[in-house]
Amino acid sequence: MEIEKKFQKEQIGQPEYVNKNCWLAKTLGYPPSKRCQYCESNFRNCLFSNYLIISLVLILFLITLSFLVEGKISNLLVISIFILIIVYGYFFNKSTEKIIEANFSQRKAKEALEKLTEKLESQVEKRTEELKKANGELKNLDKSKNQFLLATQHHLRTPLTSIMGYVDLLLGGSYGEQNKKTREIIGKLRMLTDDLIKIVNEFLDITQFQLGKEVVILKPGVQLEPILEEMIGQLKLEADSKGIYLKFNKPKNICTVKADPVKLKVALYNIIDNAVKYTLKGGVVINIIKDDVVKIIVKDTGIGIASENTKSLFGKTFERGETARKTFVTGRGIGLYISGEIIKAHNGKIWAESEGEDKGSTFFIELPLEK
Amino acid sequence: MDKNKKIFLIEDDPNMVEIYSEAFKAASIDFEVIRLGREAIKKIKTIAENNKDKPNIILVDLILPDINGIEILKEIKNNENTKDIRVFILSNYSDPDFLKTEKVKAEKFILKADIKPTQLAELIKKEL
Repeated sequence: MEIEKKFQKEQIGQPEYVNKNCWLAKTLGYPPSKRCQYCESNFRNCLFSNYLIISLVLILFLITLSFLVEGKISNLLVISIFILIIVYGYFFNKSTEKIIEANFSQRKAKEALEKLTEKLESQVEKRTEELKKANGELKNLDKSKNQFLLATQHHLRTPLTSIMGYVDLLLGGSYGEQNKKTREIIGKLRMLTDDLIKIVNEFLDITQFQLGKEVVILKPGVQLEPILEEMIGQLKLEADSKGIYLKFNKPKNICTVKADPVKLKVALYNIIDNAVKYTLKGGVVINIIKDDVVKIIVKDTGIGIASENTKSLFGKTFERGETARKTFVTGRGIGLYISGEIIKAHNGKIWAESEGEDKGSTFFIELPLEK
Repeated sequence: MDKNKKIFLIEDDPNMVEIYSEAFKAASIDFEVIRLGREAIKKIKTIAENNKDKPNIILVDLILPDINGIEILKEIKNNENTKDIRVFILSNYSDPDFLKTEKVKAEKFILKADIKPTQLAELIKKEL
């Protein structure tokens, strides 16, 4: 009935069209069962045929009666046949009128439909062109933005690297011994510089992912065990200071994958670092399972993730989960996005499971086995 | 580490030259600084001709004021007498497309921002 309503709204015809017009009812998609109710012309045609048959039977009956009663065709019979012819004529005429009218309505409706279709098509074409143009402009703008970011980040890295270098030399004693306070300050400078470099690197990675550049360069024979051990070494101090455990159950067999070792480290570090950061009691366990794929499982007893957020974890930048924001832990909300993109670029899969807030989370990283 | 072993540092940024020089000195690494791309090409050509005084490792920056580091890498790797010299690209320029399109490959790519000078000196000592 929606089509009917639409017709009324567009004013190209009334539902009467449908009532009288078999073709239109069919064109508009009315099912055959419904069509009979609407298709009056068809109904009238049927009715006319029925009248014809009934009348012929009646004439035959009258002729037979006339012969039986009078032995000849009576005047009454002639009058009856004459009346019947007039009645046929009337119905035939009526029916023809209806058919002509229906055909006319059909043609009119067809024309109106064609006009409307043409109008719609030209409107769609116009809008598509406008959208294409707007989309093109947006893409160009986005590309310019990303290229600007890329250039800015390269220019930021240069002075930062120099600062990092001088700080490193100062702490290494290349420029003589410093007093305790100076060393403490230089230590802080080193931490801040390292953090700043990490931010610039992360932004650069995001920009390159968004520019569609292949950020990872896959190399064969990358062993997972040393990478994870190195990570545990880096994060052990933080875990110990929080009083939580950080365990790595080494696999029985050596697991090698085709990977970009530097980028894979970044991806895994983000996951394990998050697990340590957001676990206040209990701890973090890392397992590797090797079958037709290599699966790295990072399970923690931390703050957990609301079930509705587990799917969107890796797709958003600069957004942190509700529970994560409630903690005193600082975060930029880009680590998981970067990890997700890196793992995808390794033809791998990454996902998270959690039974809810405060119930811990498990992160799964699946990498194809090296053949 | 063998005392006769030597490295070249092809770098134009005066701060980085100072920083790396200091770190290499502290680690007792014999090094020579080359600040211009053309100067580096000339040096490699001389080494190739005489087939002597070859450095063991060449650290090369990608962005130099005159020519880019890839040209220097090509010069080294396309010459029979110098192609066995190990080349480590040491740069802050990390556009993956730029590196992927090149057929000539360096032995290592080191991002300056990812490695502290003392760590770099340690790595070089290990590699020499």
